[in-house]
Amino acid sequence: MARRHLLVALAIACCATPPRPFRDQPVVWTDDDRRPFAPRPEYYGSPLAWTGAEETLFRPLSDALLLKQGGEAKNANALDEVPDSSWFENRLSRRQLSTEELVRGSCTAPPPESELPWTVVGAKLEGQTPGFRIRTAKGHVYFLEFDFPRQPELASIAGVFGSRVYFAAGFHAVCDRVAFFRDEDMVVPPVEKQGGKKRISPQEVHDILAHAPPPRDGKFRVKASLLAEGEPLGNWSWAGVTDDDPNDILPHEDRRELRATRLLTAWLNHYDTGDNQTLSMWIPAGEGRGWVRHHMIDWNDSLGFLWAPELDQISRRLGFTYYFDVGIIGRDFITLGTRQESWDRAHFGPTGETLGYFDDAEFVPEEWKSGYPNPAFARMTERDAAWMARILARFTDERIGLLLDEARADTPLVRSELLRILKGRRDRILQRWLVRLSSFTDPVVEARDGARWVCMLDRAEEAGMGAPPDPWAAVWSDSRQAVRTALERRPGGVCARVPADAPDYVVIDVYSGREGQGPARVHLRSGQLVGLERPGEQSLPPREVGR
Amino acid sequence: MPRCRLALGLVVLCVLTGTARSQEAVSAGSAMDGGTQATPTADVAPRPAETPTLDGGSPVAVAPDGGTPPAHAKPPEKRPRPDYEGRDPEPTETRDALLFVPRLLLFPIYLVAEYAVAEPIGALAVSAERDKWPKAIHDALTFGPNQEGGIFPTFLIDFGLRPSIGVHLFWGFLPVHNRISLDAAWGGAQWWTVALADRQEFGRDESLVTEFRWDRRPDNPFYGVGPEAPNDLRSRVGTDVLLGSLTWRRVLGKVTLRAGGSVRRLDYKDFTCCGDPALKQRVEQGEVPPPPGYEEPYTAAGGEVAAVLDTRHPDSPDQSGWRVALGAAPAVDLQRGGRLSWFRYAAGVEGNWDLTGNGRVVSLGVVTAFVDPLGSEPVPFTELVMLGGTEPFAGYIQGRLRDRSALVAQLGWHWPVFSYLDGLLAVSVGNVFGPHLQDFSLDLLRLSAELGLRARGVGFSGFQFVIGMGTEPFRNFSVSSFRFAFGVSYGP
Repeated sequence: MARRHLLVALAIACCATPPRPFRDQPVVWTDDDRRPFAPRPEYYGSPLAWTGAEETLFRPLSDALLLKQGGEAKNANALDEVPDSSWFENRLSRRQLSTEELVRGSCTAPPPESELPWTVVGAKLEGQTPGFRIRTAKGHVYFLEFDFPRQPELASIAGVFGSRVYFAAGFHAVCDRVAFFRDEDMVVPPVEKQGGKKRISPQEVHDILAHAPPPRDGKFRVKASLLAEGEPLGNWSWAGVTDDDPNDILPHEDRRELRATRLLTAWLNHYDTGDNQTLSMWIPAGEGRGWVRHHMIDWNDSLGFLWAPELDQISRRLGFTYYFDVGIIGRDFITLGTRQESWDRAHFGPTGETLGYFDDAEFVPEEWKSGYPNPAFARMTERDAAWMARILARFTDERIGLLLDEARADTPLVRSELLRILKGRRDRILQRWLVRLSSFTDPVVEARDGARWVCMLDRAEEAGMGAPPDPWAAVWSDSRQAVRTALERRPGGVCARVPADAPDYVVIDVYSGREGQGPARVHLRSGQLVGLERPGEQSLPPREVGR
Repeated sequence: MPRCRLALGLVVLCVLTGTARSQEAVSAGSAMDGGTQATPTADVAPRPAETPTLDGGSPVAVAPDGGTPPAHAKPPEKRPRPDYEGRDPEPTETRDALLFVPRLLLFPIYLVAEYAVAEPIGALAVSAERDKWPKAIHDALTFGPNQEGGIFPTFLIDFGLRPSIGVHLFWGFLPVHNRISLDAAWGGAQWWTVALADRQEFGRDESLVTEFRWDRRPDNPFYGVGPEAPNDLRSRVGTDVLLGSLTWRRVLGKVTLRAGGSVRRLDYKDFTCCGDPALKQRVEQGEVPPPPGYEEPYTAAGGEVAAVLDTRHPDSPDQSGWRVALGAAPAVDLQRGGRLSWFRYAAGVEGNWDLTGNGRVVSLGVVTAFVDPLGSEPVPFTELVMLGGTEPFAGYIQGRLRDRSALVAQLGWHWPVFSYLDGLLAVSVGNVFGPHLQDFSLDLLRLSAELGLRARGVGFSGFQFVIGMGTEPFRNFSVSSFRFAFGVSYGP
């Protein structure tokens, strides 16, 4: 094994770059972008048609003409993690969630069925699924959306599951719940007594109910989305910054958490993920000041949503191609049909149309595509993806099952199929992105037995991918050489010893021994952890020293 | 939306870093209804009047009503950027520095694409969506509930013919299953098409289409009559055609029946076009004999019956099956009666073998067509059997070959390129011949080949992209025809 290390390191020794030192300052775990300000930003509603055209054609053209290069995300901290902000809060990334936290998600209010009767207060006419708004007896406002008869339960399962996944991953996800109600649980006041711009007549409510999947045991099934805290400011964009928000300083496409959302969207096949699936909320802080919280919304298209039957050729391509994919058109035209594509092999599973073409057999995470190009996804780097893979690794089989239960995937076959497919897709993502860069994480410095040790957990081992097969560690003695140091295993991770004669600033590379996996490069200054990076390349060959 | 200031220093910065778009400010657009949560302004407390301040600063100007300052008030300064990573950035690599030169070279193109194309289109699209122009136009052009309507652009570029642009408008009256369409296209001087059609559906499988159409064109190509009509004597025929037709269509299982009647008035016009001499000029100069019916306008009333058996299902991934088509169409000139009348008839059969079960199809077909005079006068040259412009001889321009009969065999390969878009590679062998293929000869056959894209199964629309070539008859074999066509059209 040592010879293999030597051979590999020799092969790339010429290209290794010396580590860049970290400054002696606290790791940024909180990005202070929730400073109250005034005035409140203007409402922004994403223009659907133009956004599609811009992301499909004009932005890629613009980037190509500027020879725009990728680059690492701008908001990764010294430990290669993402600070808490108005965009993201560390949950599974830094700790385990209890079952209660996981299934509750962002839902702080009681379930809507516990606050009957409901009063209809307006229509919800946008989006694919019909519905209306209601206010519960306790004053909570929900948007209700019904499933499509062709795919019973799917939209509501997808909405709730997506909401919980995104929340657990760390995003501000609106609270979606599955609710059941009877006709008589709802009061529809006359149109003139409703508020808001979009009113709905009793007849329109009746029409929506008539086209919804028939009630089971006298109860309609619906997805209920709780109105988020604050005052709506419309959508936020996946690119650029918001001019009139002084806290918004980083181009959105350079935020790691937004880039890496690509892994979550691919996992769920959440292809409809553009500006219209975002929500900005103004959080008042008194005296006319406030700040903006950035939410993710609307996962109804996930888990196999089908378009109309006559548009089956589009449905089977969702997740494999953009809505209009010049590259695929060109490739398939030039190859004269000799190439069998993944969507040619797509077929309905045992659930029939309920889960559509959602499966894991043809899923290639690197090739997954949203409906139209997403500027943040396009800039995702290996490090960004590895970060999200470490989060995704904590969606264990048990947790997925719990979330499906919360999403009321009540039909046994649907539940079992979703579980199988979600596990399969998750595993493919982890195989691609969890073990290419180091999966060691959560570094801590321990002092014991008169020595200092850098200890880390292995997220790949936690995900069931096996313990590090042949871990080893090396200390950089200068910018060009590394000296092997002692390493010991512990449950779920490893510890590498900091040599007693190490200089004040020391860099330690810790390898798992997995084929092709890079090291976790830990930086210490005066015995304190100041940084962690995950280079892709191997270090120079270490000289052996006594332990 | 300002994307990159034109100050020289920022130009250089943008070029160096390629960051023009990354610094774009998201427009503070007007209120629009977005997703699930974006609209409930009535369900939250209205924002109270306030004294706005800049972050940490003194109050700014207050509007007369004590409310928010106007939109053009200067936004507060951005907060300082934290040192997230805690170390110096990576050094600029040589590769990054070398990109400066090509970026500088491409920057003028970027400026044009961004500010002359994308920005105006974006502003127009955003305004149209925000102010609901499509709905306003639709509401202005429709009436009553349950309407549907639309407007689509049409265009056709077909080398050898005048390019044209147009619009297709339609109104659907859903409760009575009726649809009216209006097509208008323009292709330069003396080139117009206007068509008004009404389509009445009687259930899913039966329809009646009434159409009135006016076509004026100066660019109808004419190469002569017969299988050896040369390529180098092309002339143009200007025509004015008025058409009224009634067509009934009924689907019975795998069989589609079509029957109808029409009245068509054709007048010849002294138009010139496209750098070619008019047919009249060539005739007067003795370069070509006058074709039958030359300079004799007519008003033809006719009928048509056709039956097509197609064993394929359009929605099935597997496109194997057979297609057999038969058709007959008699016509008589209303002024000259039986003296000038003719009978057109055709038959075709095509086999399709889907090799993979998902739309990769080998097709082999044969089609033959005839037209015979029923009276004492010959069939006008404008009513002869024509090959070119469409399959099976798409490698030739429309109207390239004309005579009393035609026989063509085609071998094709179809494959899916995108949703509802198929690729087509086809080779055809055939030609036009005299009455009833009487001068048929193998060495008179021509070859046509095409590579292109076709829309599949998208209702009334037709998209085509064709690159084709055609040859002289085998006895003097050479490639003499090239064709490129690209266009979108819609039917009634």
